[in-house]
Amino acid sequence: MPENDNTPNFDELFTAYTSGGPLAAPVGAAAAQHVARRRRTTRLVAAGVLAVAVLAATPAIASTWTDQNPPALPANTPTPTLTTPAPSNSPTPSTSPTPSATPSTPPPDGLIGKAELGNATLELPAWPEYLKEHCPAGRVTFSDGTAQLAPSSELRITISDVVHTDLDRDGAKETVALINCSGIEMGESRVLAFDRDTSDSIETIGLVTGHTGDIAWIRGIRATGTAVEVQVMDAAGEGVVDGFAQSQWRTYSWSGKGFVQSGGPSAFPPNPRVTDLSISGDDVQLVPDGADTASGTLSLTVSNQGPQRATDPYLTVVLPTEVTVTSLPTKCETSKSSYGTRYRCWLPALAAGADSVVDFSLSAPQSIFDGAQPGQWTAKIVWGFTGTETGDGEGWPYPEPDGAEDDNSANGNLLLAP
Amino acid sequence: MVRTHGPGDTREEPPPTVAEGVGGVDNVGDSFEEFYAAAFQPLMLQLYAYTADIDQARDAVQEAFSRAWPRWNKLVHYDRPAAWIRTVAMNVARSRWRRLRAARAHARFRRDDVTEGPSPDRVALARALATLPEKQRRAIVLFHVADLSITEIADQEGAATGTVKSWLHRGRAALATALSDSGTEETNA
Repeated sequence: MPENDNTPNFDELFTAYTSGGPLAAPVGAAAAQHVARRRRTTRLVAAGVLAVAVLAATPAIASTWTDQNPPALPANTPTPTLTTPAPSNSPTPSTSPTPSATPSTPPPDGLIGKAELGNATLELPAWPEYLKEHCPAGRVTFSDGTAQLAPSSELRITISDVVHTDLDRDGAKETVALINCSGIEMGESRVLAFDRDTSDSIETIGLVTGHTGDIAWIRGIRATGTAVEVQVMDAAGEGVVDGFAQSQWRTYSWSGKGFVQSGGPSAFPPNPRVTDLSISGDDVQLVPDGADTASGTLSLTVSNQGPQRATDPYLTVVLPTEVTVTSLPTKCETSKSSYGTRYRCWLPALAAGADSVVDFSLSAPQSIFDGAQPGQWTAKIVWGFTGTETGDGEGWPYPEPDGAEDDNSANGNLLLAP
Repeated sequence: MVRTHGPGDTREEPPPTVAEGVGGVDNVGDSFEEFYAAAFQPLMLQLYAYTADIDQARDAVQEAFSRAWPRWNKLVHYDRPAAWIRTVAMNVARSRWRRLRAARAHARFRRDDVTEGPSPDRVALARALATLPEKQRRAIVLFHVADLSITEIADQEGAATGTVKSWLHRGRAALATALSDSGTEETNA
């Protein structure tokens, strides 16, 4: 590694970095295996529920439904017979107008059960680019409700729900399925509509909706009249605590050419638990106040740049073990670790646009200032989940708006005042 | 599972042709446990240099091992499986959603650490690295901590060697500035 800089010798610097002692105690291979095993089990049991997440902090693009959701029929799919008029003697949902033309042949029965669909060969539209190498598309053969690109593939397609509704108002029901392709890390859910052609083969009508606009996951479907209602989420997955994600039922109908949203909200409101918190603080000057001790105040400014009122700001401060805190905010827990004492504090709610100052009164033996390196404080502010009834997830952070998390931590030195 | 917006972020796993190593752990035994024992510390050093956060580094490394284990039969035949783990761990660390998810999955296994935590020199270097732009920081960590060659970094990052050299050059300059700014520079000069 040639180094010509006249500044630090990087080889020496990094050799020193890598040749020191262990950086942290290994968590253990068994723990890694346990997590993997738990995930595999979870996937086997509830593949359709275990889902993915994203915070749709970006503005909803409600007006793009029809543009983005043409029924994506694969090229080799036979044209659906959806426009066949219904016979007048077929059972007709009260909400749907029955065409007056009455051909003698009844429309194909598009009612396909979940078991049949889950063991059929279906024509699936292409998955989004990032899943193309993981999720099969085109003619895909399902077995027991699932399909995979290869047996070793981590991701698999699962048919998680099937409902029936008369999408084309021909008096016969078609089939709508909630399908996802997902694995440990990523996935996509979508709603597809199927029918039968006159020779009784299953054919794909098209994509009802997928992760379009602000939809991060689809949790459920239900039939309604001649439409399908789709329960969409603005966030999902393991990184998201219970109750964080918003859900909505949106209605989709067949227009004759494609699926369009025909009811329900077209966009999520801003997630009420996403706001931009920040924290800052200066170096602390500790003033000698006795023979061996020095004291000072760590003042942290916590701000909420909005847009929401943060009901439960959760502050974590780490101080060197030798430093004692003589005055803490009211709701704090203290714990010791090898790299210092950790204070975790619930702060009062903070309105959008507001800030507050949190003071920690510190006392430390003067001997800690003898070393070459100054002591450090570090602090982090999040909007914390207050936990489930059993306390699970307490302090877990709600996400910040995209790109707003850099100012959620701060650190500084603890110095002996001259 | 966490999906992110950026298409570049979703390529989680390197292709099987990846064959770089993590310094010093190339010829470990076939057992996952042996491999873990040998690879954990070097990976921690790389991820700590990359994240400047010991918990994040540990969660990312642990998460990468969790993902490696189900496919261990395949990975063990790679020339250097630790390279796969490192790439996954860096991807986990780079995305806040993956970080959150990894932290949640592995939190229950965190014990109070019996080691002393990073030494001040290591902390200073990691904090200085944290001020670098992502590409430069990544290149510096791969070159100086993971001991990859410029060609290997170029392969892994899908960049020209000239580009990698430029990242390294600019990264070192920025690192020198950051170290002198911090006033805690020099570990051993």
